Amino acid sequence: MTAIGRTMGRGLETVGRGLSRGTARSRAAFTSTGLRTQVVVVLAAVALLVGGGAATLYYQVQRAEAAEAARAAASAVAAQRAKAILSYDYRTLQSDIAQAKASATGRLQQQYTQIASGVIAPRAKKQQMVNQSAVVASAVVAAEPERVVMLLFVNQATQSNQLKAPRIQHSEVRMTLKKVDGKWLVSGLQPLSTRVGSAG
Amino acid sequence: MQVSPAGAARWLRRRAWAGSVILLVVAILGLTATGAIFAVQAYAERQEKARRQAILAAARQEALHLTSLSYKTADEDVRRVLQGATGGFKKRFSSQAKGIKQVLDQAKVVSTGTVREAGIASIDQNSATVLLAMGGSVQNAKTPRGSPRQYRFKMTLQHDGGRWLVSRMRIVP
Repeated sequence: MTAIGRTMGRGLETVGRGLSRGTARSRAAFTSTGLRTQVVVVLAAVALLVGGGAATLYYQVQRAEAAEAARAAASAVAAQRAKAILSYDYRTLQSDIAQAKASATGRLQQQYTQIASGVIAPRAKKQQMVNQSAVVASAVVAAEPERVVMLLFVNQATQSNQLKAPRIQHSEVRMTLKKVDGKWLVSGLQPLSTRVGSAG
Repeated sequence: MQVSPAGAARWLRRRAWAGSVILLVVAILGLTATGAIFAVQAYAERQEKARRQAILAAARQEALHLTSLSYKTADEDVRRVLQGATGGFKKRFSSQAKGIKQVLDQAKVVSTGTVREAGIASIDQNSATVLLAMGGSVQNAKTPRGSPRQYRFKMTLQHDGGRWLVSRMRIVP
């Protein structure tokens, strides 16, 4: 190592001599600390630059990989979460509502809690409602490491003592999932359109 | 061998300098190598993102063409749909083209579609499945004001000659 170092030092000196054409004074200036410091400073700057570039690229790759993982993880639970939030049975209301709450997060959870106790529970009991939801198909609209937006095709069947036959509804839903403590929970549920469908 | 104190100090300084130069050069080489690996990975991820965008754009375009048909421009409208199609879907649509044009003309149909949302359901090297939530309206002789429509599309796309084309199209009931 020292041998290489000395060789490199000599090499640089030769270059320095060539550059400074001659005088003993400039030779002394080169061999003295001035230019040596400059060489180290320039190399350090280059190392920092290259290091910064590598770090930025590493960050980008990490984010992309995390988004990829998020895409898969959110896709895997989307149907289950939608079913939990959109389905209920008047005979198992309490556990159904608890399960729905556990599937949601943030403002959606607050909104659901209000609607569940204010509207869903009293009406479901009175009308003996059974609401079953099925996700027919799902797709990823956009994925980030902590947030995934999905498009779901949902079919809902509602039975109640007010209805002679089950009412079937088809809808498209935009669902936003967020990663909360390692779990993908629903933070937004936006129906794009709903219409009466045929059974099946 | 005689070494003067000043000479020894100079020698030590040079040694330290050479050491730091070597260290820095090694660091630069190492960082460049790892940076290059990350650059290749980042490039691949960017390509993948661009591929997904291209798939979604192609699916949206074809869904719009398919839901925006007018008796006034039926030939052109049908051609647009066929341009974005391939395989089974292209065959089916071109065999039905005549009938479609007749229906458009007879009922004076003008339909306009909008994509409310689109996402990728599955993807691999050369094909992808896309879901689309469509809105729009259909205007005809009986309903000059138009009536609103909603559909759920499931499209399969194939990578074909540098373009993404729809090879299968299904309305999800």
